[in-house]
Amino acid sequence: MFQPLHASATRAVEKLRDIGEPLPDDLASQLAKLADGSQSSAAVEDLLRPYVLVDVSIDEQGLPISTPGAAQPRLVQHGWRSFLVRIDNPHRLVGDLAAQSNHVLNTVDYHSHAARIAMADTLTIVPRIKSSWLEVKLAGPTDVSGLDVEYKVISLYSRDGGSQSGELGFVLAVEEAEHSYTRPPMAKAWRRMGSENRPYQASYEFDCLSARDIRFDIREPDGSSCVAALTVRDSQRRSYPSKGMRLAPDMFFHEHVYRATGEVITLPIGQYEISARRGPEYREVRVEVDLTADDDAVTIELDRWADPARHGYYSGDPHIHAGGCSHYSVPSEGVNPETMIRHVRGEGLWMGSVLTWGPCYYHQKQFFSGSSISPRAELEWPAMQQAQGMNWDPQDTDHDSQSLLRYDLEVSGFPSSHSGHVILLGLTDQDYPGTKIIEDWPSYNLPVMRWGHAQNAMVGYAHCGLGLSVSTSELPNYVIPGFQSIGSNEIIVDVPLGAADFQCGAEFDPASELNIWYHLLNVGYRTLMLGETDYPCIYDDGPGVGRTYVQLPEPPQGPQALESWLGGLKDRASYFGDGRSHVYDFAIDGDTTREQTADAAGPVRVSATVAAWLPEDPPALPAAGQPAYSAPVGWHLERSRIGRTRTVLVEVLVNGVPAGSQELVADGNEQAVEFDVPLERSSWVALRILRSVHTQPIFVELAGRPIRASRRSAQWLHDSVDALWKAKSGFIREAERADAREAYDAAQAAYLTRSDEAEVD
Amino acid sequence: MYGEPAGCCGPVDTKAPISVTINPEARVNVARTAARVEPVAPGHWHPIDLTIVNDGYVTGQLVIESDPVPGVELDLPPHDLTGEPRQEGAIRVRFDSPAVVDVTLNFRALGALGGLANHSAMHLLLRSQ
Repeated sequence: MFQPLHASATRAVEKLRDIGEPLPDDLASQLAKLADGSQSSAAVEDLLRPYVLVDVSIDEQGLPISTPGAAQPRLVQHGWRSFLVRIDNPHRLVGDLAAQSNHVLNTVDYHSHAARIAMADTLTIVPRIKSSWLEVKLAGPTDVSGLDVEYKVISLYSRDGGSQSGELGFVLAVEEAEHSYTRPPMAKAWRRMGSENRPYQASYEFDCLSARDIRFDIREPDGSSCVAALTVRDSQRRSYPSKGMRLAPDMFFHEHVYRATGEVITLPIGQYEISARRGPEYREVRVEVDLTADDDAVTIELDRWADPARHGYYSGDPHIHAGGCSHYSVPSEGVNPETMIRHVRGEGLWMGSVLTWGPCYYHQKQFFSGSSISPRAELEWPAMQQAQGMNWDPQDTDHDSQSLLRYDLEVSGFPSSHSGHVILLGLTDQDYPGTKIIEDWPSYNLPVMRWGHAQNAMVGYAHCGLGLSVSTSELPNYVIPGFQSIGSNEIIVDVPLGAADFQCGAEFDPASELNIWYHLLNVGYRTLMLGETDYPCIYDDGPGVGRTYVQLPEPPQGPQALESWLGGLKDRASYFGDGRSHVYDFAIDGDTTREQTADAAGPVRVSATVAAWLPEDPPALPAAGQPAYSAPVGWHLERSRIGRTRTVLVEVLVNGVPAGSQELVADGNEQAVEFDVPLERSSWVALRILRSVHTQPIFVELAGRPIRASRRSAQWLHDSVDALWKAKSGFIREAERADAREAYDAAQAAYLTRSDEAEVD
Repeated sequence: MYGEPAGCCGPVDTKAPISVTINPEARVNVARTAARVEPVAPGHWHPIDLTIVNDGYVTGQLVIESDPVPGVELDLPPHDLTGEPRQEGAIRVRFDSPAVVDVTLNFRALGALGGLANHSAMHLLLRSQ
C-alpha cells in the first residue's frame, strides 16, 4: 500500500505548493526519494507529521474524530494559512469530506453563490458576523478514497488578530448505494453529526498575526485620483483581502478589489506584489513592497497606453448585472448601484448598462429610473463591514463623474427567453403593458422588441453567438445553425420587420458571433454590433471585458447620457471588442460618415488610425499539471498575435470578405493604416483585428442602388428562419403562435425579395 | 444573463465515474462523479468511462496524461472534441496482479484555444483483486 499513500502525500505537498504555502524545499525531494528507495510508509508519515494540523480518525459509522496534530496553529489576520490533514480510515470508507468550525462566518454560500448568508429568521446578520472569525475549507479534492491513510490540505482564514480559541472538525458524507434526491449523503452526514454527543472536534489556541489598514494612493499619470482594480498577493501568492470572506463591494470571485485613491486594504507586515489596472486601456502596473510596522501607505501610478476619449470615443458595456448568475442568486437580492458604479469606475468605463433580469427582477427594478446616474460609491452595509473588521471610508475621486450607470432590462428568465435574450436600452417604462408578473410577458420576442421601440429604446440580442456555432471558423459560412440557445436567434425574424437594432458579442468564437451579422449586412440591413461582458454571468473578471466605443462630440454626461451614447451608436463611428486594440477615424476617402454614396463603381481609399498593445512576448504556457485559467479566452488580442511576434493582422472587409490586410506592431503606438479597395457594387466596408476589435460598417451605395451583396446570404437567412421555427415554435404559447408564424413568414418573404434583388451569388 | 441562475456547475448526469466539463469560457474541469470505480480482475483491460459536457463549443483534442504508475498499465487515448454539447469516452486500465494504486490524470483541451491549453487534474484509486 506504499504507492497510494505516497501518491496522496505527494499530492497534498504539491497542493500546498500550488496554493502558495510550500513546505521546505528539501521535504519534497525527500518524499520523492522515498518512492525510489525504501518505499517505507512509516518514513512518509514521519516526514509529514510536523506539518499536520489535524489528525482525523474515521470510525466504522463514518464519524470523523479530530485531534490536534503536531503543527503549530499559527494564523494571520485577514489572510489564509494552510496545513496538512492526516486521515486514518481503517474501515476504508469512501465519501466526501467537509471541514467545519463553530466560528465559520459563511458570508459566501457556495451552493447558491449568494454573497450574503440568508438567515430568514433575522433582520440583520451583523451579530452573526461579529461572533464569527474563522473560515475553514479543504483545498483541493475532498473525496475520501478508501485508503487506510491519506493526506488532505486544509486552509484557515482568521478575521481577527491575537490569540483566539477555536475548534476544527470534519463531516464525512459516505457514499451510499441508494440515492436520495431529498436527503443527499452530505445532508444525512450533517444530521448524523448533529445527533452525536461524542466530542469530535479538535480544540486549538490559535496565534493570529495582526494586520492593519494600508492606504492606497492611486494616481492617473496626470496625478488625478481615480478608482482602480488592485490585486494584492503576498510572497506566497495568497490574495488580500481574503476571497473567502468578502462583502460587497469586494467580490469573492475576483482576485482583485476596487479601491479609490485614499481607500484601504488591511494587511499584515510582510512582502507583497501589488498589481493595479483600470481596464484594458491601461498596462498592468506591478509594485513590490515590503511593509514594515512603520508603513501605512502604498503609492501606485497607473500606466495608461490608450485614451480613446481623447479621440472622442467613449466606452460602454451594454450588459452587466447587479443580481443573479455567478454571485447574488438569492432571487430577491443583488448589489446596489453604489457597488456597481465602483466596479464600472474601476474598469475605466464611461457607461454601464445594469440590466435587471428574471431572478432579481422584482428587487432590482427599484433602481430603474429612466435616467443615467453616477452615485457616490458608498458601502452598502457599513455595519456588516465593520463587524467583519473592514473599517474604511469611501473616497471621492477626480474621475467619478465620468462613469455612469443606466438601469435597463434583459428579457432573460421570461417566457420569450428561449428565442434569445433581448436587451432593451433606454427604456422609460420597464413593465410590459398588462402584465403583473414575469410569466405574463409574451412568449416570443417580437412584441417585446416593438414595445421597446415604442419607448424610443434601442433593442437587440445578448451573447449573440449562443445557438449559432456550426463547428467551422470560416467567415462568412453558409451552414445553418441549430438556433437552440439564447443568443441572436429570433433576430433573423425581428430585423426584417424593423424590430431589432443590434446584437452584442465579443465573448465567444467570432465565427458564431459574426456570421449572422455579416449575412444581415450583406442583404442591406443596418444591424449594429456591440461588445458586451454579461458580467458576472459569462465573464466574472469585471465590467468591460467586452466593450463598445462610440464617437461623440461631447462626453456622455447627465441624466440623458445613455441616450447620447445610443444616438452616437446609431449615426456615428463606433467599434467594439476587448479594448486591447482601437480603431479611430475609420474613413472611406477621408469621409467618416456611416452612410455614403457614389456615382459609380471604382476604387476607394480606406483609412484609419489603429493602436493595439500586447506584451513583447506571449505568455508562457502553463507548466504541466498547472491550471491555465488565466489563459486568454473569447475575444482577446493575445489570440490575434501572429506566431510569437508582437504583430497582429488588420483586415479590411468588403461585404464580409477580406479585401486587404496589413500587419501591425502591437506596441501601443497609434499607426495610420490605408487600403485601396475596389468597390464593384453597393457595399459595406469595415475594419477588424479578429478576436480583438471590429468597427461598425460604413455603407456605400453606388448609383442609388441598395446593398444586395449576396444572394447566398439572403438564402441562408431565409433557410435559417425554418430552423428557428423548428427550434422555437414549441415554446410559443398556442394563443400567440399564429401571430408568430405570420411574423416568421413575413421575414422569409423579405429575404426572398432581397435574394431576387441581389446582384451576385 | 447566460447560464443557470444558481449553481452553474452542478453534477453531470452520468453513470461514468469521470466527468469532464468545458464551460462557456472553454475552461476544463474534471471530476469524479458518484459512480464508483469497481475493483477489476488482473490480466485484462478494463474501461473506465468518462462523460464530456462541452458548453464551450470547444473542438480539437482532449488529451489525457499520467506519469507511469508501477503495477498498472494505462491506455489514455486522446479524445476528439466535436463541439457537440455531450460526448462519451473512456480510458482503459490493466493490472498484472492484485494491487491498489493511486493514479493522477491530467486533462488538457487543445486546438480551439490557439495552442493555449486549459487543463485540470484528478486522481483515481484503482483496485485489482
